[in-house]
Amino acid sequence: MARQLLITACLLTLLGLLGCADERGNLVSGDVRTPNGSSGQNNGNVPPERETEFEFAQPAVVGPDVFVANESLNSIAVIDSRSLAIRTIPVGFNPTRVVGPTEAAPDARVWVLNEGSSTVSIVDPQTSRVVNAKVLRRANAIAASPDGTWALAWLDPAGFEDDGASTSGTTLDFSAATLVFADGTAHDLAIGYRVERVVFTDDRALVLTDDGVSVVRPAEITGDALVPPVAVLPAALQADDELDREVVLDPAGDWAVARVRTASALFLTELTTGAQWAASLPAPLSDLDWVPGAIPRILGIAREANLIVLATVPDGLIALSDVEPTPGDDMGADVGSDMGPDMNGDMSLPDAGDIGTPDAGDVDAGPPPMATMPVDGVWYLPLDQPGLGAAQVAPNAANALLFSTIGEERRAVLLDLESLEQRGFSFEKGVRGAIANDLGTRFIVLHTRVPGAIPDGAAPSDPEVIARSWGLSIVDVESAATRLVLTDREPGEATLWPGEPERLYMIFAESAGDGPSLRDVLRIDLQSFSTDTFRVPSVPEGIGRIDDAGRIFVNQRHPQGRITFVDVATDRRQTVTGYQLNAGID
Amino acid sequence: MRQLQILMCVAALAACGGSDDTGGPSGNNEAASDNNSFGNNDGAPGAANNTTGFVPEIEEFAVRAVASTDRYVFVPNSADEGTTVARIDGRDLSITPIPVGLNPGEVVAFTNPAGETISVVLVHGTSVAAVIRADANAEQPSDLVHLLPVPAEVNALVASDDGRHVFAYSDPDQPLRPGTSVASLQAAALIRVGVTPDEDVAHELSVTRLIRDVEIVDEGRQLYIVGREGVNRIVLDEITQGTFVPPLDLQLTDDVFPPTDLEIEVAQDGSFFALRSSAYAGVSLHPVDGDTVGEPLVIELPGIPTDIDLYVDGGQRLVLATVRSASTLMIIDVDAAQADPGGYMPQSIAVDGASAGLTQLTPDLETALLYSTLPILPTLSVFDFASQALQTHALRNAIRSVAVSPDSRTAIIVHDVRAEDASTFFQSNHGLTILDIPTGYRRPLTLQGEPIDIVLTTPDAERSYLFALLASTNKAQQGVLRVDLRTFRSDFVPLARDPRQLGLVAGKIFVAQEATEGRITFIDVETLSQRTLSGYELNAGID
Repeated sequence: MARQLLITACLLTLLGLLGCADERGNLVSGDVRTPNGSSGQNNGNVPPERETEFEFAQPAVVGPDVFVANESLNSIAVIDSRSLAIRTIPVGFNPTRVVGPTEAAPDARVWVLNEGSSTVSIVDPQTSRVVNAKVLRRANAIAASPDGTWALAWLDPAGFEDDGASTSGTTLDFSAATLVFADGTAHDLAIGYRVERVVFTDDRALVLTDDGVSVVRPAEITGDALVPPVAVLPAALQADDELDREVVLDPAGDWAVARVRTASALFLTELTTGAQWAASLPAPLSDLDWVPGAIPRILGIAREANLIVLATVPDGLIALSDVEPTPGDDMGADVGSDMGPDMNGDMSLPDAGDIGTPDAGDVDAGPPPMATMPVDGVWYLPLDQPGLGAAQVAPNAANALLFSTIGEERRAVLLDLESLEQRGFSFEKGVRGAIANDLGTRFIVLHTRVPGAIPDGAAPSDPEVIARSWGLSIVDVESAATRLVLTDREPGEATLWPGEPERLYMIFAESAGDGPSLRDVLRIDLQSFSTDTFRVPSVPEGIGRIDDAGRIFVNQRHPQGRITFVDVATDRRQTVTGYQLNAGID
Repeated sequence: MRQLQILMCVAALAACGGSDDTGGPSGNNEAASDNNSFGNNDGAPGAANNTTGFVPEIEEFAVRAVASTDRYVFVPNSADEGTTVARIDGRDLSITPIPVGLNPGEVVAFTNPAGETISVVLVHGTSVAAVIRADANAEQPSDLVHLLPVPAEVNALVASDDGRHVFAYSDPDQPLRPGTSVASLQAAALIRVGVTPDEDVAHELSVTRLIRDVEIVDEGRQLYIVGREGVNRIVLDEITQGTFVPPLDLQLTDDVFPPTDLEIEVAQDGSFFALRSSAYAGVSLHPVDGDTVGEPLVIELPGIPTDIDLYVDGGQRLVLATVRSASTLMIIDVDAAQADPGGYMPQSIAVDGASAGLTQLTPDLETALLYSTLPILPTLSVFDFASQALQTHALRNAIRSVAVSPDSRTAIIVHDVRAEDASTFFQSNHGLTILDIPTGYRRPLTLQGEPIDIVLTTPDAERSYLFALLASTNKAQQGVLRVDLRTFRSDFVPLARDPRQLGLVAGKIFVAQEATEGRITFIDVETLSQRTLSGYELNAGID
């Protein structure tokens, strides 16, 4: 699965296919992008499962206050969402990103990345006092710890825009990050190459890179430091740029589980020691998910073998690694080996030991040879709906939605992760990705669209109306029934309001030109499934929720700045315009 | 089979334009050469069947709700900027434009339990339903109106017989409104009409999409919706807030009862419903007890049923299944079947010689009309249950729909125009055939316009009339056709403006016509004398 998980303070914001986080801000699961940005597997002519990524940008929220960057004025605006009072705080040059804590913490700070000056402005939300710190040159990404007391800044190649002149004679350092503390202390860290994702646990950050996971423990860092990555794959596989690697990380920060499209195996890595186990599987996996719980599990889908794989972490996978692969299991690996990492302090990759090199080109897609071999903590289930290759696990781990992003596949399965019962159903359109609500009672599914305009005057009974519309479906987990919502624009960012009423708010992407409907905000009641829209004055650029104020905000494109607040209980809307200059309430 | 509604001696048919379903399948041509031969592809008893080649019967019309009561007609102003609904008193022809909001559309009217006249109007410009209490005392017409928000997507209304609820839903055959940026075809609303306006409420529902049938039974207590995902059942009084309504778990295999291909017939008392599909040689009976839908009882039949109907005869709850491939009618005694699920055998009636794809019982339940919509040269057979006699009558053109007069004496066959298959003048034109059931006399009527509404009225025991609203691009050929069902005499009343709707109010036929300022013509049933009201949207006047 190519899902990206994002963390905000009690704020689950959907990015089309977005992610979810627990209240501590711990990443509960996540996937890895390969260098070409893809994920999944590709055996033979079967394309890999691909889920669409969405842009994400939103102001930081602390209590009722929304923090918005004023890029042109080198300041941030702090808007009280209850009174709509605005104050401005000067920061560094060209502030672009603002992040805040995702949980209530007395010493929390708001972190402003100033790309123009390669600094971070650290704002005390209570006093508005600002401390500045130098960070990695041309850093363009920042993530704050859940309690907002420290942050990491780095250079993300995905968001990097090479303007030519300013890079002349300098180094673009994709193997480094800056650790910044609330008092302005900053330390440069040498980490793995190219940051894919940063995940925070209680006391550390897991920086997933192409080379593995650099575990940043801020309490142990007192100066510039080397934080070598722990490999999550055998050395031979690390060098392959076409792996379509996918990695899920233990929210507690202890384990990483990886798959590659070319090997019938899963690779379990203990992040504290670097110990690694290779668990042989009947077939390569097309998707991998973390299933949280008292005994966490991983959920894998072997699309070409029509098989669901469940295994406990770590015991099930370790037990599986002790099983000798049967002939035809084309692992080519010496499974069961404890491959101690090379922790010698240099930046070289861990020694792969005697794991061998999996044969990437010859996957046995025949009957699962290991399905009949009982292994404690491992379950193999035939897929009731053959051909599905992607999965999304609900945050409460009660159910998973199985689907496929290939070929306008409309079938799907709800897998009960306790009873392992499968319930098949169908959508009206192909699937791009899915996300569940916090309670796991609903899945929100984003659909594909057939290019082309809808014929004039066509009625909804005309299949082209549905096929050529954008759309999303809401799945009622209890009944496996769905509600399809058609839109004339591509769904964009969304945010989930988890209280009463539980609602989804979504804005639209600018994929099809302008027009008044671009200013529409979709609102879905996740209890009754009712839908409606309201229109904001300008084109929305971001959306999020403010728990303390009971409001949704919609940040909009406007020369002087514009943001609309929506009271969730009453639907009353208020718009603040001109906060970059002198604010006015519309 | 979609049955023609006959209420209060009024039956209204609305032809909804051409249908690919009726004209397209090659099976039609095959059937044309042999009216009684549909091949042997309708399945064997019981088991699931290969449906390749199975041609369903399509009776192609929808009943258009006429927004009238015994006293009033409610006509929305269809002008682009129209904001009113005209309440027309059929007794004295007085007109009251009632403001409801921009772009009023669909209207239903009924009498509530208190005897008050209620009209509910969908107002598309503001996405509300306007509840009009037409009898109330009010200083201003606007005081008669109570507005309730409904989803913007809804464009169809069904009212319960008890006058307490109106179901608003999205008709998939109607285009979405221009400028719709977000739409769900599953959006619906249940409007509960209270004793006073304060008690009116609308709850938004999420139901199955691509709705193809809506039935309210059990004296207005239960609502059934059939659509893409299957069947929704709603106990109306239990809806107290916006609700997602999942499809019923029918406990049937989707392979043989696919949700996309179900016909449901619900007993009027709500005690059970029956299902058929085009993939199974049998029917499924589902008992309903309060909130609970019981386990299905599947009855095997000698072939795939092409039609099912429910009726009660002498206290017996019966299902009449038409099995085209076996030229057989099957009568299932529901209570007997439920009492002996393993051993029950339905009654089989051979109707050899009949083209039995669809069956319609006459109101007196003494005879059944058997026909098929597939052949271009069809027959209509009359089966007498008492004598078991079968009379078959040849018709001159394909059948689009059939209606029976309330006295069970006359059948009105509306013909289809299938230009690609037409070989005679009659087949090339719109037409009706009036069948006198007792004698078998048939009167074909060639029509110069398309019948878009039909009303049957029986003023007394001696008189019975059919009124058909004919639409045509040639204004000289648009108007109202009257057929005296006793003498079969036909008369035509031309209309200068494009006719939109036909109905009956206070003993008069009314025809709403296209006109920005509003125009409606009242026609005396006996004398055909006319009075036209126009300009009532501005200042009413009588021409």
